[in-house]
Amino acid sequence: MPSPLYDVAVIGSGAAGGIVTKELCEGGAKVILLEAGAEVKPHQFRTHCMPEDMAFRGYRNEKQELFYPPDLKDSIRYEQSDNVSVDRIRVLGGRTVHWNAVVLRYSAADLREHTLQGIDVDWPISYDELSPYYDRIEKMIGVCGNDDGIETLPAGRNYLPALPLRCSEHILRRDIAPMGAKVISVRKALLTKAYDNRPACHYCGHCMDGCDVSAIYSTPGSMLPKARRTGNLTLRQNALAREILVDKTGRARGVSIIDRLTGKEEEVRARIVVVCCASIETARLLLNSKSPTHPQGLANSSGVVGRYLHGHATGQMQMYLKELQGKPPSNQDGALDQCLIPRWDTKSYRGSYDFQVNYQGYMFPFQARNLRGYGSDFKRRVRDMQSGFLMMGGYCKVTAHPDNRVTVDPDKKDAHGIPIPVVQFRFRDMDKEIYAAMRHSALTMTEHLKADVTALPPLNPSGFASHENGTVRMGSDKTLSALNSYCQSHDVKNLFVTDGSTFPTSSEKNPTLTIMALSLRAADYIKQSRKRGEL
Amino acid sequence: MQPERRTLLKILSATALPLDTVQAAIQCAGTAPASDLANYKFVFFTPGEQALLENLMELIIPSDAHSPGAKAARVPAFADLLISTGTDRARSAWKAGLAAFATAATTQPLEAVLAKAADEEASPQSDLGRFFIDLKRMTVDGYYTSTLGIMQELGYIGNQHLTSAPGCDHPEHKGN
Repeated sequence: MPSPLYDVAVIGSGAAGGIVTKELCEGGAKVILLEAGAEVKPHQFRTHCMPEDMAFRGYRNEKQELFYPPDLKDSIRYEQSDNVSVDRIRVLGGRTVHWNAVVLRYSAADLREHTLQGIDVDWPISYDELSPYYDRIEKMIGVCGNDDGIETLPAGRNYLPALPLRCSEHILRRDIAPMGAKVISVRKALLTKAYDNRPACHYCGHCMDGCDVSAIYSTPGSMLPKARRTGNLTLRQNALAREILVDKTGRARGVSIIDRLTGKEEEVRARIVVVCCASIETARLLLNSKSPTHPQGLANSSGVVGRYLHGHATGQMQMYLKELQGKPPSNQDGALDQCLIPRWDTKSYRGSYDFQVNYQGYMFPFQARNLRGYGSDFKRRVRDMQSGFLMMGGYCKVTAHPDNRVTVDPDKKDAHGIPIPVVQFRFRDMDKEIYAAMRHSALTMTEHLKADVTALPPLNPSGFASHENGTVRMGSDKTLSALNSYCQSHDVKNLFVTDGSTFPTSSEKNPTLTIMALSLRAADYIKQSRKRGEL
Repeated sequence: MQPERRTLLKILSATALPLDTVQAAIQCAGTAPASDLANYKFVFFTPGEQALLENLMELIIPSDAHSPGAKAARVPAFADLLISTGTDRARSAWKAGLAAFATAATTQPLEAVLAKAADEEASPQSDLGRFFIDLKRMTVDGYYTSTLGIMQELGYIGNQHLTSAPGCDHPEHKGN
């Protein structure tokens, strides 16, 4: 039996899908939200579990295993790829239940790199056009931070009080100032005071494992209650989208889903389809949606779907600051990363990197592995040095290259019979230059800091630290892009894609806030179009 | 072994931390089975290997005046659990590694064999040197994730319910 006809089917409930769903429900549309995963309730989160609370002490990913069900196994392949991996979480809320919530605005220059630096392409949207949506999103989700007066890291107007710096971060700020680098309070979708019926953070330090009180923004904790209140939301969990179906004219008519629990395939009918599955799964879904009117896959007359996969290249460093060694233990967990070193070389694309600081928590003293030696002296040093621990990760821009791509393998299917995505990715010369510049800065920092350094960013980068973008890029030229600046398919007017796959380029900044701003803008556009009777 | 919240609270109250910053120890709400090594029965290492492993791990993280060491923290049992449920490759590497230590220790004291292997830590050349990396990593991972290692030895006081973000309270650093 065919489903009721919904106004909108939103596929994926992460950062993009949560915003679109809430906005369209509030705008009066009947929305069905299709999520491949299932709800993990806050009381099931293993956020506060100490290592001994888990059989393998967390070494078998027990803290987050509920977010990664077993049917994800063997459902992706990397071919001729450098050291990259993508996060394919499967849970209601997507990565908003498993994130550090760093929310940084792209700058005007980040959207015009072709014009300003001669690299990549310009976005089909300017900062001035995006800025009002950043304002609204920041107000909607609750963001702590400061206006630090940095042109390349534009600030919002509605920030909650900023997080303080820890002692190691004060020392970092003092010692790397001669390099021209600043240490600022990080901007996070984390409540430093009660806001929008959500409580303030309690600083347990385990944001990545799910926030049990929703002090960190998540779709289930923040957007779904609002969407439900409208009476317009239908939530369908365990609904894996196999294909977007089209009518004879090539317009989207609904989504074919497979129920992960029963294995049954059904058709969900909708007037508008919004895809929010993130770069890999979104490209996979479109490429798996072939029809006589769309023989190359949906929204793909340009042939760009799956291409221009990009994201972040990263490398980590660890050290023990001498100044703090031997100090008595203190509670350093806080809100995980509480500060950020924004990009400071803004003249060349080679400066397109920033550093995130102390984002790994202190519950698992994994870093002791990197201290040399053994015996009583080793044990004493681990104890004495712990108070001085400081870790950082460099996050570097990766350029958008057409041959870095996602395809699907029709001969290899996942547990539900859907062709799997295949990732092919190589870092290009410019990516390596940017990474090398970051690494050079990391080494220079260690010269400025009086510290016992136990790990430096490796010679070769790894990607994408869960920050993958591209594969369904937006643009003004229909032959070179899949979407217009409202995230609407050039080919299929009632099809939208609003996740990170829309990004024409990446900057060094975390992508989520921009994903949300684009989603909000697309939702506004859909609402207006519906009012005019166009969709 | 259920999460030892009482032990944890006892340790917390024994620290010099002002009580107003610690509202309560936060509960583990998850449903994962807890680590239970007190009654652990070895399934992978033979009694001989187990004895050797205990000696080696206790040499790597020994008991001292500050706290008990790897043996008291049941790190050998932790290793048996991880290796027995791990990969075939890890199982053969651990069998071979322990055998190499046992052989070397027939002609010289175990302490001397370990010292020699540890000398190669920066750039392991021999089988013993390479196995030392795995052995030490397992010992560190097991010890510092035990309640004994993380609480008693390191004095971890995070994972708490605080009313404000912990910043820096050192006057000499705050002004930077």
